[in-house]
Amino acid sequence: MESLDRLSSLTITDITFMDLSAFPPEIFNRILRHVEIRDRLTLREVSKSLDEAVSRTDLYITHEDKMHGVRARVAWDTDHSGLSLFLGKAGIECSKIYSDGKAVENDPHRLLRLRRRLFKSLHIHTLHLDNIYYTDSTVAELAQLIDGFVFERLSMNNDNTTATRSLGMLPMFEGKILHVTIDDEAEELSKEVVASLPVMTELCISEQAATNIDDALCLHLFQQGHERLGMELTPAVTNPATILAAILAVRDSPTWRAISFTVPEDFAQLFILYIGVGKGSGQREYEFSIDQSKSDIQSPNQVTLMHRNVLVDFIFMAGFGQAMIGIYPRGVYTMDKPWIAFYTMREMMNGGLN
Amino acid sequence: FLFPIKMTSPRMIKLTSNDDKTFEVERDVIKQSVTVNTLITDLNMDDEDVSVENQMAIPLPNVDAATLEMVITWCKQHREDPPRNEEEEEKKEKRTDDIPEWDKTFLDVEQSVLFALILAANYMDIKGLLDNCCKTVANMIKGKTPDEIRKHFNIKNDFTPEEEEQIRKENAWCED
Repeated sequence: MESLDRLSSLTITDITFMDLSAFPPEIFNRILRHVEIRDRLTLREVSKSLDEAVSRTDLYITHEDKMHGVRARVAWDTDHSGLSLFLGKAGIECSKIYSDGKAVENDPHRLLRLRRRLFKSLHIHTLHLDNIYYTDSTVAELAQLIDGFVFERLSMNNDNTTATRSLGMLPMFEGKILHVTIDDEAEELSKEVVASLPVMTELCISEQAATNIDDALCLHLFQQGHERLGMELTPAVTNPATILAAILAVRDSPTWRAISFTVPEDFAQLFILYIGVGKGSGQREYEFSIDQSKSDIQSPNQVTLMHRNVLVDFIFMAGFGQAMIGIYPRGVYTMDKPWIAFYTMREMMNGGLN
Repeated sequence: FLFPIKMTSPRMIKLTSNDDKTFEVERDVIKQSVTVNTLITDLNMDDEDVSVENQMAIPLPNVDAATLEMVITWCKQHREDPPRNEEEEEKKEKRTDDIPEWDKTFLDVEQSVLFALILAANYMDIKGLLDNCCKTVANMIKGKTPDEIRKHFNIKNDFTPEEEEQIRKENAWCED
């Protein structure tokens, strides 16, 4: 301890406190591996920089008891032979769960038991199926995994390779709220396949898929009784005219009551614009969320805005090679200057316009 | 029968901090630093023909002298530790109540010192030291309210009331 006494008299730096958010992510990650989920969330409430730092870390779960009661979205992904947990609305944490080690992975029965134990300790609100290759064994394993567990909703990605096979899974999930994402590879998604989907309360179409699905199909989908349309938009393929066309195709559906957009953060301003599309009478809900994972800007906040009573109406005109939007009563704006419409709309929402 | 025993002094390695202070440390002690160990191997510094006087000092540009001295002290204390099996460590349940007593005392330093030590342990790739430092910080965080954490780490609350409310709402799912 001699050297310790000597060291204690050393002045290493004039910084008195430790700046937690100044740690490189890998170190902060390492620190947070030793705290409970509750502590991680508490850190988010401390300051903006810590909120951001926490959002950049992964969650490692090595002991399922720590997860008791945690609300989680569980993703089953056969590509990665594991489960992912997405905890919390803000998507602040995500981790592959490989139970307690590689040895377990070589023992499928033990792995299944451990996963079920983990499930028991969670409050699973969503089971998300991602990149599932629906072989007989996958189906059997999944059936075993979810048997007896109550989750609120099921979400799944359908792409051209799995759409048909995944439909075969649906009876297993009867009675669940179903949220289906038709993703970017849906070019082969036919009207017949979509038509065979059961009535869902939520349907999410990626923009690329929307491009491939014609207006008539969109309308058909909503005539089936879907109540909610969701769209995931990506910067690379975003074509405002496509989105508007899809929305307009469904807006006269008698059943839909809500429309939601998941957009990259840097597109947030642009797509505020679209929430006005529709009847605009306040009878419908417009949900707008930002998907930070698809943005270059890494912000911890996933913002969800619910706009009711949006007192605007959009007039959509196509056929002249350019989409045009009119904001009543402020005039007509072309789509190549959407920010004008956005700012006008923002003013309107803020009560700046009468 | 008595055999003559050849007394050999331990092999020494020179390390230089970013403020140009040079430390001589036993090869056997500093092997816990993967970074230094790799350098020694790559530069063939284990060649016994080279005396410590003629030996090139290994520069550690990210570590100051005071921190390096602490790192060396820690390495001396842990020189007999069995080599860590990182895979095994990964499998272990993460806990923070298993920091050895000596380390607890050693790491009971000002936050800025601990901060520098963590960065040094990370740079020098000394997993045992890094782990215990991280556990120490984790213990500072655990079970505290946002206000207590702000106080402990002298952090200013830069949220607007609306932003604070928003975060609380987002975190509400975790409440029992």
